Amino acid sequence: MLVALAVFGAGCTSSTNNTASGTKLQLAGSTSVQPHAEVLAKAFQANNSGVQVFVQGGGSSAGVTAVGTGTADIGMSSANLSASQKSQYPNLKAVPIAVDGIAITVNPQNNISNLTTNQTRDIFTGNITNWNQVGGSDAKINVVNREEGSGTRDGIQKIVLKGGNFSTGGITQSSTGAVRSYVAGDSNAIGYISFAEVDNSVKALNIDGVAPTYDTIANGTYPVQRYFLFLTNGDPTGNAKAFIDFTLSPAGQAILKADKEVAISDVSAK
Amino acid sequence: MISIKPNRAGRSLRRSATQDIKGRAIELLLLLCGISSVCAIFLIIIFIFAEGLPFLIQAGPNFLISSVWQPTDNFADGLWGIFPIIIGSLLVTVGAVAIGMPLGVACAIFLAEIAPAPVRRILVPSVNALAGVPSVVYGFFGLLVVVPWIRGQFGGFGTSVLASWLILFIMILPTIISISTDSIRAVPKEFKEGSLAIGATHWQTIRSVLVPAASSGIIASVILGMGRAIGETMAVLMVAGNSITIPNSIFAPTSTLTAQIALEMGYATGAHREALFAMGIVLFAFIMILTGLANLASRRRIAY
Amino acid sequence: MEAKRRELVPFALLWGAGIATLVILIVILAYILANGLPVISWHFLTGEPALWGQTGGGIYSTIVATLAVTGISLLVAAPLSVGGAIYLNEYTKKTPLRKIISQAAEILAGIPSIIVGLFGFLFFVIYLAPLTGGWSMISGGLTLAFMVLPISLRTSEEALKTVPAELREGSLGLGATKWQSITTVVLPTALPGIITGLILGVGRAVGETAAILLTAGGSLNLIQSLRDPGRPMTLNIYDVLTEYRDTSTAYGTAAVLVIAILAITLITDWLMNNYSKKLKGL
Repeated sequence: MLVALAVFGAGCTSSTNNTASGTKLQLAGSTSVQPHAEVLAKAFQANNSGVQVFVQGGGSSAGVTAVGTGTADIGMSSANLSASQKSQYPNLKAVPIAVDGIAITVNPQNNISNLTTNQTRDIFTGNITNWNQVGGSDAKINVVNREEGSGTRDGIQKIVLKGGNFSTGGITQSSTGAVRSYVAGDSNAIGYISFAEVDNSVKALNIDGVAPTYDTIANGTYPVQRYFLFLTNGDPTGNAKAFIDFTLSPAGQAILKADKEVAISDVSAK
Repeated sequence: MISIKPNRAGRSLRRSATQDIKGRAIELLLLLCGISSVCAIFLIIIFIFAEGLPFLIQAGPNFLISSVWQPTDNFADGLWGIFPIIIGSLLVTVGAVAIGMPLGVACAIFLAEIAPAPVRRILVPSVNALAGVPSVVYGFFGLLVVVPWIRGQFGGFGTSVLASWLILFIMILPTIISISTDSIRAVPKEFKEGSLAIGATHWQTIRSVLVPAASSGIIASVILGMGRAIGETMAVLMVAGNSITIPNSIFAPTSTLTAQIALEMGYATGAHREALFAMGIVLFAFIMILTGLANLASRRRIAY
Repeated sequence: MEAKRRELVPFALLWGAGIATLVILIVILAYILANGLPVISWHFLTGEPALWGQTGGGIYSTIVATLAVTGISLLVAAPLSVGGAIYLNEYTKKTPLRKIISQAAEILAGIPSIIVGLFGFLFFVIYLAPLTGGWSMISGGLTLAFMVLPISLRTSEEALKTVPAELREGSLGLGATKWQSITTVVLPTALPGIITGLILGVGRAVGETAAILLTAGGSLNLIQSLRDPGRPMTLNIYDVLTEYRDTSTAYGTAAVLVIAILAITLITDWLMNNYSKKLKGL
């Protein structure tokens, strides 16, 4: 078996995926960032024919681990680095590439259109369990969460729950798309997804009277938002640097803007 | 007339020495091939236990009894209770077997004793086809058909214990059917002929003679089915809801060891990752117990 | 008379069980194929995958990834399982070694795929990263080999067992060495059974998801080398279903897989039928 391994190792291309100047560029991490990274990757590859860009999901924490251990060249995260992540991988450099709003979504059949931050918090912590407690019909609220490693979930926990705990009564889905599919199919569901992924199968709620739009996210009046980060181990070099530069360039930012991610240059909040 | 060819005999005597070495070398090579499965098990056990056992020891029995699961990178900050997850695994397994066993054994009896040859020619490949369908396709079907149906009929999330039962029992059917069919077929003809000779009807023979005689194999098949159910990942991940609570009804969501590992493995680091491996050890322990039971059951045959 | 009438109920139930099993299969297959067959087209099979959020892409890269991991797993598992089966059946008597190997294979067959995946992640993706390229087709394929091995081992052993002893004895009596007997007489006779076992193993590898989830990477790009990460069809169904709005791609991929499995089932069924006829004619 070891012989087979050696043969394969020798017979295949010798480019390792650890050097940022090889022909492979590996991105891994947040499923919220992933779709945009894939579009950026395609555009980047069109201009840099020697480089193959691979984009993988796994969640924000997976991205941090991947770039910290060298399995990926760029880590994608939709949450700021935690203290323990910083101490585990002290060399990580974070580059904000966009601001993403998190939409609190319900099924289009739900007649609720607005929630206060406190109501939202109480729903997700389990203190409010019925829609009629917030002005809706008499039905149990079906809470849909993301998994623990999700940057989106982390964002909700920090901004809406103010560090509190999610109730255990909800179900867990492992990606933005899965949450959206679920909410679209269950008239009593509520779930949080990246604002860019909202389509007309779900309804995005106003929070404290503010609707999530490109402008309200950019000027900060819609509070539920977070930075999308590209992480590198140490300062970016080679292809990784080229890719990040491309992302921050007007062309890259235009791609993000078209995908409803707020370009860094448009951010006027804090 | 038989002519003895002295050359041939001489040649084979001369060849025997090198043939011997060659033969022994081949035998050694084949031995290594055979040992590969033993090596495989050892490798798996070593690596999984190396990663998960220290955690298991550190977390202690609380790991298995506590109901609060809040994993973090470092041990001290996290809460490590997987009791609801264990319950979830056991619950979906028991239900799947409760549905799958009667249907599976009945189908096995049908195949072994009653089905005419043309029906068997259709049904046997069909059972094999059921076995071949990938688990993710079952999960797909469950998510798009079974879950909405449950939600529509019974309310709640739809992703639930019941959904898991309905999908899992289908997945373990082929295991139960094929092994039980073989067991029933393996009962010596004399048992059946003897029973019919003394005037019992076909059904009476089946019920009182064949099935009891094949019971060890049937039980073994059910236990193996249980092993399959408790080890199933993708289908359960898609239809169970992944809620770390002890379900209060069959329409409530739940989480299983397999699904939880698959869900969190991608991003778990540090103590969290070790905890997932510890869950793997717990799962492995369940499987070992079940496999051991299956072996015991199939060994207690009526001496033929 | 009484007994005969009472017979009807249990017999009806047994027929019902058989029919119910058939109906379950038909319902699931019909659902997948009805929704998925319309999606399959030449473009679907050979085209590049659509970008996130867009529909209408192809699954060519996933087909290639499936072939890659399956091929690797077969390359490793086939010699090991056939060699092991030959050893078990031809070289050992009721020695404890034989029991140990058999038991080990049985245990290996029962290990849940997620645990094999956990192992594969630790061993191939992390530990052997320089050799395998981390998350890659090689890591996925080698992990799958662990799952294919016990299946092929068991079926190969069964196949070898059914070769009549007279064949072996006759060959040895003619002056052939043991190994010659095996290669010229025993193996060819057992070949259909062995191939069936390998095909079943292939079926398992093609349909496996959990182990792949942790070892193959998941990137949609067409693999350029075996050290690249990739997304086999099963993983694609899971990803597409939970991520994209594009259920049609999921249906299409599922339909392709189902057709592949049906083909495998029919081929192995035909092989086994022919094989037992051939053996009976001996």
